[in-house]
Amino acid sequence: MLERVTLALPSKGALADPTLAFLADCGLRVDKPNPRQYTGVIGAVASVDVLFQRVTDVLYKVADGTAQLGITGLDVVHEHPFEDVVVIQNDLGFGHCRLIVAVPESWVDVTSIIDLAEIAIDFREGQGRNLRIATKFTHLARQFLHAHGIHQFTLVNAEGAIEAAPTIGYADVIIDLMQTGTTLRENHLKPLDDGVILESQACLIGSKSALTDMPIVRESTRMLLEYTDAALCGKRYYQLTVNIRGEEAESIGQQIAANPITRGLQGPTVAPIYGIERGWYTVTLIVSSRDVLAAVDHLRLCGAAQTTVTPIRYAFMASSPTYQRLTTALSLP
Amino acid sequence: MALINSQTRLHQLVETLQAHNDDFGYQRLETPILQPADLFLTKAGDQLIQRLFTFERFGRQWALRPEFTASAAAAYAEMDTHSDTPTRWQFAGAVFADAPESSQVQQRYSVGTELIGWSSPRADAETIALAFGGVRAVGVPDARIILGSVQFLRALFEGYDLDSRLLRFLMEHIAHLHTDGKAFILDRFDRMTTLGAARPDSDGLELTVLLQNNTPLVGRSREDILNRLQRKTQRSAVRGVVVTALDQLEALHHIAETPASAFVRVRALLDARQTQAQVALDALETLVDLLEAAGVPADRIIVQPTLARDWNYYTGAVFEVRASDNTLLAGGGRYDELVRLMGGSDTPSVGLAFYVDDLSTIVQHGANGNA
Repeated sequence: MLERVTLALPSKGALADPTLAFLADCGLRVDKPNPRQYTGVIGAVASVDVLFQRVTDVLYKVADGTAQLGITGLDVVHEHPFEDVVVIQNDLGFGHCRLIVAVPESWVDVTSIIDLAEIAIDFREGQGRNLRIATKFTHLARQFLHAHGIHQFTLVNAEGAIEAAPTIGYADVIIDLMQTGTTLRENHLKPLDDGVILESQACLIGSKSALTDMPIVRESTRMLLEYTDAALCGKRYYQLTVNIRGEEAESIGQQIAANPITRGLQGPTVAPIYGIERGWYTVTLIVSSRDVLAAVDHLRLCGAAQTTVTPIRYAFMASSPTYQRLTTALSLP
Repeated sequence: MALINSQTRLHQLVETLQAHNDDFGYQRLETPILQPADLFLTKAGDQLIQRLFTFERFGRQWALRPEFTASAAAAYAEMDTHSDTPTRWQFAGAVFADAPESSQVQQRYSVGTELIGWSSPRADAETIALAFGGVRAVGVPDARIILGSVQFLRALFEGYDLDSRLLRFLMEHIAHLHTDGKAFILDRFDRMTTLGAARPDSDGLELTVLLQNNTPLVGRSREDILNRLQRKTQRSAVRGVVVTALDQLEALHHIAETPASAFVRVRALLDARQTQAQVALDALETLVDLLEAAGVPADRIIVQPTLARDWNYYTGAVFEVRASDNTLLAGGGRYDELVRLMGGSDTPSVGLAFYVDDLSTIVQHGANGNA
């Protein structure tokens, strides 16, 4: 029986550094004893070994059971579907990009996928050749094109510098990842209005069979998710500590709780301050990070003299919501 | 034991169907299970293409056969000489469908016939009677024939003043009328005519400037782009015609009844200018007469003018044979252009496929019901 769990992480590419930053931010700092080796450990979850792999290999290692967990991109997972791989969390909140269809800027008559379908027929009937599409996402590309009525095309398989293919002349259009669109513009390409094939970001994946069969994989997954859920949830809130002058704790508490913004998760905590002056209270409450200023304004109306705002490191709920979803989805014990 | 029993039943059924086809003079042949995917991609409908099981090997795209007709047409196109009398072929074996969202590949059994080189409606009648007779021969007495005509639909659209691309667009979207409705098709049409939401300020001037500078044109000429742009903007002018066409199509879509009343209702919906559609309808009526002469009872025939099959290669009459609970047992139609598309000469042809697994289930239910 397995006694340790392997978590595969991206070693290179756009996801590598953000993954380590994300984990460190969640309190799951990865220590690499030897920078030239492909392994590491996470102090907070002792049962987990880290294995560094390229993003696609992260998926392959989870699919073949070498690793039981992994962090990779949704684009990779959708391009190479494996029956034994489950996406545990599909929005880790970093590594955002889109898989898109882009055509030459000079094709001013082409703005939608329906236009492209007609152009594909034009190429076939007018020039006697197929529309050529450069991509490394051949599976997703084929699925998307067929689903949109484009059947006559040739996929040109390419690994790098895909956006240069139309200018160089070995393809007419491309299907590739786009982050800001700058690279596309520099290469005289434009995305189609309705050509978004996939909204991608970093995701946590796991081996279904390992999660089902091995208690230690489940327990390690739960621990990792406790950290990531609590850290991601914590980012959504601030803790406010407020000094307020008032008659009595009860009325201050009610006045603050009357506003949904300052009601917090359960309601404010009000405690008397034993200082030189009587009639001062300290109120502690949790507010959504979007509503900080609105909350401060309301507290001022309630008599707040000073307010300090502290970020929340972790917000633990009764249990990890992501782990609960996973146990339901896979019918885990 | 259950598996063995159902296998035995399946094979008895196949034997019966093959013997039935033998009686009509159909020669038994085989087509390769594994074929270049292009063979099927050329004329498969949207829904079907998404179920085609394909994979890449040595840089080439391959497919497991989803049916026999395309292979038969390709084989016929490759033959050096063709006899003066019609060719009758039959096929039997596994056909495959992919379930794109899982790792499952559906393997099913099919028996098919192709009647190649005969343009007469007698060829259509022979094939449909063969399908109906085969279904009866294996023990489904209460099946119905649903009859439609791609020729009629084509003629209908050609009566409108639309360019060939729009005709093609409408023909390819008939199946969507059944599944997604008129609004869906109209939305797609609108996207064909607008210049895109992202650039509402686009005007002729900006386009000219863009086309004069040095951005690469990539595979198209300046004229291509400007011509198409013009075609696209002119299309918004025929939106009214497209709406009228879709309205007519939708009205026709509600007709599925016995020949006598169906033909009356369809004719009432036709415009006097749609003379070619009238001709196609007459041809369908002739076919019904031939079927009745061949012994198919009139009350077993349903005329459904917008009947759409999964394959885009059909050009004339199309049909389905369904059980009383609507299970699809057999289907087919006329495909006069496929042999030419496969590199041969113009060759009128009609084909059919029996869906043996579903036939077996229905036969089994019938047997249990009678016991």
